[in-house]
Amino acid sequence: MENLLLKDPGSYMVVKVEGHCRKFYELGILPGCKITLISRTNRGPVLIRVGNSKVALGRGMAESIFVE
Amino acid sequence: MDEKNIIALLGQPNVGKTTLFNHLTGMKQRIGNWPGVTVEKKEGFFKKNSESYIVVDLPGIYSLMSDSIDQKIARDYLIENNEITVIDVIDTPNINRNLYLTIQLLDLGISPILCLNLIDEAEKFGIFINDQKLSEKLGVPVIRTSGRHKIGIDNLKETIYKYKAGEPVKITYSPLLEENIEKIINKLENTQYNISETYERLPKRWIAISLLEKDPDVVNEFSKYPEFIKYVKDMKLEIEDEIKHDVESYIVEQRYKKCDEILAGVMVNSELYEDIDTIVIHPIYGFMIFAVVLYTMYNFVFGVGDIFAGFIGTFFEILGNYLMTILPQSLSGVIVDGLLAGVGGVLEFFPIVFLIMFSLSILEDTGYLSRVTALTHSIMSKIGLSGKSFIPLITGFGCSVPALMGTRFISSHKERLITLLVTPLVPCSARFVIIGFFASFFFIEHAALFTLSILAITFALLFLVSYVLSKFMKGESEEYIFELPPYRIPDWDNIIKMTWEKSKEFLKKAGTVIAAGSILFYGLVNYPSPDANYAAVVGKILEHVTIYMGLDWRAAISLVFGIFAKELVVSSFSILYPENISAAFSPLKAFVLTLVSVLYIPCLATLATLYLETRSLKWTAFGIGYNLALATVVGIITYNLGTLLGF
Repeated sequence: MENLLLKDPGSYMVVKVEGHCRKFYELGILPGCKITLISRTNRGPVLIRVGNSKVALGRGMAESIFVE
Repeated sequence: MDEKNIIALLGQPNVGKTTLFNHLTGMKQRIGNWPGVTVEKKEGFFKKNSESYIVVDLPGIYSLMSDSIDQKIARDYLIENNEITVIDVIDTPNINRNLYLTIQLLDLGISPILCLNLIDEAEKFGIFINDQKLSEKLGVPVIRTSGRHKIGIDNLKETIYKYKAGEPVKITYSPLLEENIEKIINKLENTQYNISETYERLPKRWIAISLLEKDPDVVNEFSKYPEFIKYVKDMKLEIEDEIKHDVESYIVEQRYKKCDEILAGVMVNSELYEDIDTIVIHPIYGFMIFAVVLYTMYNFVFGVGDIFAGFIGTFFEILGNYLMTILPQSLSGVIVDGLLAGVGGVLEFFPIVFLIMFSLSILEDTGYLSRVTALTHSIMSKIGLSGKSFIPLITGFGCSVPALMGTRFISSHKERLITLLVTPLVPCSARFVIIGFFASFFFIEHAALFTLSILAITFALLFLVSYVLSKFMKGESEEYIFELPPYRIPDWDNIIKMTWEKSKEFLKKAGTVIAAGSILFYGLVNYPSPDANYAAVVGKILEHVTIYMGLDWRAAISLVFGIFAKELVVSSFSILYPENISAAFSPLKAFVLTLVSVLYIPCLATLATLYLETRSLKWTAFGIGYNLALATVVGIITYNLGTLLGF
């Protein structure tokens, strides 16, 4: 289990989320769901896909999503 | 009107609700505010078989929890008007997440009409929904629509006409949750709680779930019964002991689980792939694309705008000359040199205002604007703002009023307040009128350079102010999370509508405030006599300060008028110098005056909005004070520096 910021692009299963839970839940990011990391650069936001929607995350937000 | 004939459109953001609203109601719309807040309220009307309907467009929300202004507005509306017909607009490609809201509606005792919107987009990507099965499972009518392609609109109207809301389907969660919900319901039924009539009417089951979810409004309603609050709290601890995590997320999981169950056997799913955003929000390529977009927009707005501005200028010139010949001399002064010069000077800029609004609407409608927020977030966060502040700032180029209203989706209090305070510094279309006016008199050869340097100074100050504020203000900064809607081909109907909606305010203002202001100003400058007039008296008092910026009483009094509406600076100049402005004013002074008019006290409409959005006299006063101080200091420095450099 690692946070999303340490991962390479690809599909993962969310294990847990920390902190800003309600925001994550509203967008359908919750334990057990599948998310796809589309891109991650050295700075700037991280791009993910949840279901059929695309979400841009700040780096701190990405750090509080743990996947495997 | 029968409450049943009030139709509320509810849905998550980016589901195409507004387009659907436009198609339902056509041109019969009115725009107001929700009571007590400056959030825009849109209402429209339509008729079906001699029945009349009012359609209310509720703010786009992800859930019915009452923790943001938008969510609170939508929810309060649903709670207080329990007989109305609710249309739940679903973004079909994201139906799973959207059903979350539907389930909350059912919990609240509402059976909505379900609109599978963007159905064409979904099917193009291989997502198919068996609408009949879905309708049976949820016990509500399901209509397939596409606002963009006008699919299903008549069917929707027909369904509304025939609709009779029945008892909503009961959503059953896990036995553990159900058991506890039941306990709370029992307690509610067996105890006399003195709660408001609205809550009395709501399903007990919904109140129970909301209490477990720690919904702030519902908890507050029972705050006078500490024993009851404790009862719920102990119950939650007990559940948490069993499930090993918090109840709030447990309920969310239960709801999503329900969504999956409902969709099983109803939906053929498929995933969309389109990864152009890897480049569009890339820290390097993304900014290159953004620069090209801005450059293209600038050329389009000013290139096309100038042509039409020329036509309008010529028209007013001819009209003025003609009126001079037919009006008696006692009237021709006030009409031609007062009203016509004032209003005409402002209306010349209407094409540019219209085109700015038009371009912004395109950027918004295609989905590009939300990419810009993601792109700019890392830079903005360094100066105390958020990527989300970028939309208000860019809207500020049109008008500060909607820009300030647009800050409400920034959820961090600190970032929102800073955005509210600095957004008025962005030159709005009215101030572009001033920039354009002085450019055309003093900097014809270097109009672009002049405009750019004013913009550069303004933005440098904006960044500085926001940086300083962020250092002094307490509070947490917000982490960025933002849904990027799919790219869409612009919906021209909607764009024209949005553009017109925003730019007609400009025309309205020209016809009312500017017209009245111009006449008043003409009067003040010419009475009791042109040589010793009221305007001069006031202006000469202010001159004690403005003289350090090289500005005489005329400039000072025009700035005073500019507080009512910034365009009045231009109108009053056209009246003060009917003959030749360039001879009476030096380019340096023109530069200083332009800069000062961009920076000083925002117009009254902006100040009123600032108050309504902050709900604080202190911050409104701060807004006035710091703008005025900034303008004075910058004005004095620029003028003296300019003089030293020999301009």
